[in-house]
Amino acid sequence: MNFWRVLWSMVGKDLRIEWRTKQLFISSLSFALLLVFLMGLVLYGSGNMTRFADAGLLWLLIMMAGLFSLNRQDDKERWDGAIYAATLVPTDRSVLFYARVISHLLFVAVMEIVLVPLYSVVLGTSIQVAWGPIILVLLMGTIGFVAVGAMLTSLALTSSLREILVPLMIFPLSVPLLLGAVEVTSSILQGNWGKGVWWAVIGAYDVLFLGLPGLLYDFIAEV
Amino acid sequence: MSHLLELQGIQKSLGHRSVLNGADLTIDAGEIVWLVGPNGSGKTTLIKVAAGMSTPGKGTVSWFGNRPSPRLRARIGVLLDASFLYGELTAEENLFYYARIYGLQDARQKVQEWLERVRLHRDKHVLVKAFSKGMKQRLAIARAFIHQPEVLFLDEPYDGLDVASSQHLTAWLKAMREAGTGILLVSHEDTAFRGLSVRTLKLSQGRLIKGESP
Amino acid sequence: MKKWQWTLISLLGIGMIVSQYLDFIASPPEAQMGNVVRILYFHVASAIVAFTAFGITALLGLVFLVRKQWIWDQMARVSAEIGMVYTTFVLISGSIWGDAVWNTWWTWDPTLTTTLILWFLYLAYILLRASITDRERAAKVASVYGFIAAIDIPVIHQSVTWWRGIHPNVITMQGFNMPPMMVYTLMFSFVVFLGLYAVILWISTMMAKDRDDLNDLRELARNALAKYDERVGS
Repeated sequence: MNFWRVLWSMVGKDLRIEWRTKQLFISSLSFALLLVFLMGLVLYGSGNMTRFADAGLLWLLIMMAGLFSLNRQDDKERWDGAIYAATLVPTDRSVLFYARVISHLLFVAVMEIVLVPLYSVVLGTSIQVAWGPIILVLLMGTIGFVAVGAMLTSLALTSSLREILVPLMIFPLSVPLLLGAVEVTSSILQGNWGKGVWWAVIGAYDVLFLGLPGLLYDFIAEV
Repeated sequence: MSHLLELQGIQKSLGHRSVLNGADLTIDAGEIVWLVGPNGSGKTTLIKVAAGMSTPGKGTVSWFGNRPSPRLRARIGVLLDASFLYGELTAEENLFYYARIYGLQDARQKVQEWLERVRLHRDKHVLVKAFSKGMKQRLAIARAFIHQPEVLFLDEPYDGLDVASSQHLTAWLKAMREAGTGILLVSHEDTAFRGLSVRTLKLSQGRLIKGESP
Repeated sequence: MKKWQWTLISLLGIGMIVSQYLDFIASPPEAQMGNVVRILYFHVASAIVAFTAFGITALLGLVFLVRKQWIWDQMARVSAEIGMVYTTFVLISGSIWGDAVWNTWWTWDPTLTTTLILWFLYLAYILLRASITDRERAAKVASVYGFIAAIDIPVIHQSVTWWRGIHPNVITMQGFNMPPMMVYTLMFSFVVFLGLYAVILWISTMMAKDRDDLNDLRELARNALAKYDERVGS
């Protein structure tokens, strides 16, 4: 199948570049670590946080770090116009979207492995109460966020205001996802699974934003 | 028999500037069309539209007698001003990546073959970001040719090439033409491909008109 | 413009004057809020226009994607711009209302929050359009984005409402009974505001179309001149 072959070639290429340079990883992670440190500093530990603050800050942190790396990844594709080659792939152009989702998801997931435990130590939240649900909500929330981000970077492909537009579109569009993820995470930290409706919101985002760009992509993938 | 490439009444505006204004073009097997025109006359835009990278405002594009489709994209090759290469990958990895995208059976062998042809086989493990302009151009040519396209779009392919490489490129174009490839060539140079017989078209006010032969 | 168009616009003008009369003179002050209630006629009507405008933008964007006729895109673009202006009105009048009634300029009420998000979403829509030079691409991208943003708005509103369900309720509309006269005034201002929106949309679309046509003509003239120069030169 053309589609799968191209998809894995693209993902493999992203991983190879990242493995070689580690630039994206190091820069995004340093940025995120700095944010964790600053949060710890200004909040003086989690004792001063309300119920939603620790989960909320954690998600904002993940989204900021994810956005930062999304922009960097985009730069790499633009170095000498490689991103335009994506319009010439001998299969459906949505392959570029899915390749970006997969490689960016892997990337953010690895970052979270470092970030989340560190966050819990610095801010004194106890994520170890329920590893399973925490990992599940992190994964589902990250998939949704990465999908929205990959779609928006494609939309803003030729925009001259790309760097500011992507954040300007991504945060308002992901409000329900952010609220859902924060609510669920916060409930898990309190020792229960949270409301089903919020899990449904996160799940719906994953399905919607993984599916919709696939349908609409041929309209937007060009230069 | 249908044309390899046919453009009918292509219109395209960028911002409020209409760049193409009813451009018509056909390319048949074994034909080289040399496209000339002053800077900003829309040559690159025409290539982007013809290669399906950009949608025309009006008019139709057809490849091999059909509407452009994902499957048919495997049969065209494009070389633009940008090389489409990744700076963080080596020359070999770059070519191999594109060979895989096109699903070439003998990808590894093809990559080695083309690296030797463009005389980059000694530099194949060097990251492309360390390449000079000419080396990058040679690799970009290999990238555009590796899947043996039946229609080739070349935007200033001689740019940055030394004399030897230019001669090689002309020889390849000749060979490909004989194999039945249709080529749309944009170049401000005419000395480099003097040996080729080409049909000259001039892009003027967004239309294609017959131009003088070199 | 044709005669019937002038007639419609004149009717709307009269309607607007009548609406002012109803808003400020005919309708009674509210029992607790007093005259502050009059902001509502303006505020709610603006909100209706804003939401309608964005709905129309999304719809026309889809029509453009299918039919590929520029007029739909021009209208969608104009509608988003009008929607943006009205959303700004909504936010400002809402703040004034909030200060007078709830003693706070801003509160994280679901509707307020959604409106603010709406404002950001369409700010991005306008910037996205303005920052892409390729006309076809700008139109397509904006249509896709407009559609996704519009279907996301109910989801955003619902999620913000659920979110608030767990916070203490600051604002309620309970015990806020409207006498018939207030209801009529409100309904009348809806009609007038939507009429005004329709007129602005129509005139601005014509203007946008003329502007695009003018640019096309200018390009034609430029091309013709260049051709002339070439002939004279050779």
